[in-house]
Amino acid sequence: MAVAAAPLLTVRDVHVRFAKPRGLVDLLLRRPPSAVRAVEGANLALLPGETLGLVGESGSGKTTLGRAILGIHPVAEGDILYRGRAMGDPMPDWQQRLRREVQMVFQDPYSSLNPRMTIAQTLAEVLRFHRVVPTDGVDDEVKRLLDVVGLPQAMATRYPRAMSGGQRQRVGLARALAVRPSLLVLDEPVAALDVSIQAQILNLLSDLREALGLSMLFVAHDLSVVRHVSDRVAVMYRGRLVEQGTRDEIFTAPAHPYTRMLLTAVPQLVARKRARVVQPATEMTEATAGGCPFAPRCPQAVDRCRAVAPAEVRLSPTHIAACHFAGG
Amino acid sequence: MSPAADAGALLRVEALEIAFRVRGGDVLATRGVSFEVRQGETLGLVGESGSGKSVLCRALLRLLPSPPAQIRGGRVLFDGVDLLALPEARMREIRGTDIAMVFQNPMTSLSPVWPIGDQVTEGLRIHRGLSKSAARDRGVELLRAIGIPDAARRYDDHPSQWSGGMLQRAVIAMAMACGPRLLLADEPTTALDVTIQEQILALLADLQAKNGMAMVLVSHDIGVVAETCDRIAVMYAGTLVETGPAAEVLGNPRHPYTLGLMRSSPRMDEHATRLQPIPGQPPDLARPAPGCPFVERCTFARDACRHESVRLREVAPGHASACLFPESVV
Repeated sequence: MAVAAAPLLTVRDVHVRFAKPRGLVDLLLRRPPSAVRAVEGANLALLPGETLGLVGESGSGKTTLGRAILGIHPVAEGDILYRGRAMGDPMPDWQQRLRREVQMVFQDPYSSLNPRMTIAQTLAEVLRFHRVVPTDGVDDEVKRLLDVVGLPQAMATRYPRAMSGGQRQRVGLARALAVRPSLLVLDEPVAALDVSIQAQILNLLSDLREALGLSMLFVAHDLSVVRHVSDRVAVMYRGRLVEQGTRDEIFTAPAHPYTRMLLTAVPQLVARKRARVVQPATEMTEATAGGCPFAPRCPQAVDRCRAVAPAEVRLSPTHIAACHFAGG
Repeated sequence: MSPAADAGALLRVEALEIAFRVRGGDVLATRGVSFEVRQGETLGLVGESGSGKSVLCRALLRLLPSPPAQIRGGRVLFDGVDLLALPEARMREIRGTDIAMVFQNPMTSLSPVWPIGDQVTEGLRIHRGLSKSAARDRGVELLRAIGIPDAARRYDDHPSQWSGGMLQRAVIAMAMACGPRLLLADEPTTALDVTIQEQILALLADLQAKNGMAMVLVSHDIGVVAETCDRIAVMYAGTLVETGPAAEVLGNPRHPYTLGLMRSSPRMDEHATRLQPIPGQPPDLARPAPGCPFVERCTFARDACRHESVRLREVAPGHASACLFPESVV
């Protein structure tokens, strides 16, 4: 991996907060508005042509971080830089350029496609709005896009409701690719698909990445999918990035106890009735303020973990883990 | 593992055929489905969306609304008694006592406005006639058995106070309350994170080992089934295409669909640069064609597959495939 290349995307100490709704009692008692800290101090870099997998359980903040990168959620603290320039930079045409260069693919294409527009209309609208091609070239470009994502031309006149989940996800990809982006943020793009269709889409993604030199931030909860698509992997827990490394570092030498817990929980395709230990239900106990967020669930936690938040330990030029015991 | 075959089947499904009457004709949700579950055994029912696995489970308990659902033929023998022929009152006694079911979303089985403990023990009071205080004692025990900390206090919590994984445990406790002999678990861990899934699967295996209960575990995730089941039945387009011991079916698949499912799953233990997806889409069940339902997507298909009817045939002891040419599947 070329460490020297300038990153396409840099996420620097980013915090995202959501205001908690205040009830009448809070207002009467003049309690200050409180906030849910969805992302706390995230640092990431994405190199051109690279795929970074972002994994974590529900509520870990992985989707929020992905959306913050697209400007859907405001960033409370920290910077998100694209090609070295802040996403919020007031330079003329910068926002317009970002909207073309950074595209999102959602989990459920059905809820992100207009049900009253045919596939051709959906794609043509994007092409016209962003003036990707001259007006008389729009029809040809729609045909080309359908080819690129492997949809038969006959699909052009269909409505989203008359398509299967896999076909709709191909349309979602075609729409994202219509503006010829450099960076795709994919939020659980295959989570809703059956495994045989999921494999079709994953192969398509790797073909597109090869052919178009795309960079991807791949947000997913399924570790086997993330392992399949990613060059590097970042693991999130309760709003914090707890470990980052190359695919091999994360999957063969995980350094954070949470990563190890995730990896051992993934069912394998081998017939073996596992002897499992019945663990108590994990309660949503709050981590002690100032301590490690994973301490309440961590099998290795000691007093220090509950008192002091672990700093990031650098295990290799590409491997970082936020654990007191990492590397030691 | 499975007790001696001569112990006989606890559940025996014979040639079950379920249709849905919809506008423009009938959709055959299952066609000629036959299988057995022995006492203490776990059968994994795998298949993709629309394969008919959930419909099949619900039909066993007669939970499908009719119309539109219609059972066209076949028998469901539980302990030798055909459930499809029982009067509704008798069926209601069986549901929740002898056979229990757990669904994917725990909130489909829980009321948001009642204390969880009362809901878990409702069956005990109705079916077993326990008094309120006796039911409470038993309920606290049940909650403790499924790993709920501080069970006596949490008994009075409402569902909104619990996490998804805890609620799924509560639903399992509810299903286990009357000591069922058969548990139907329909995607019990699909909505949960992997670490919670691990806990729930452990819990099911543990309860099963203690009570000697049989289980049908429905899942789209072949990995989940591989790790929990004694035997596997693979379902495609409303038919069973392969059945057998888990190690046999996964180690030596004899139907191209089973092989395709395995090859299209990304693996944790090795890195393949390319997956091998199953080409095409599942067939339209409203327009059943003659021949094998998988023929259009099959890379091994021959002429005979288009018109000859297929059915499960034994390829090794206890291992059956509905492929006409099982020896060519490699």
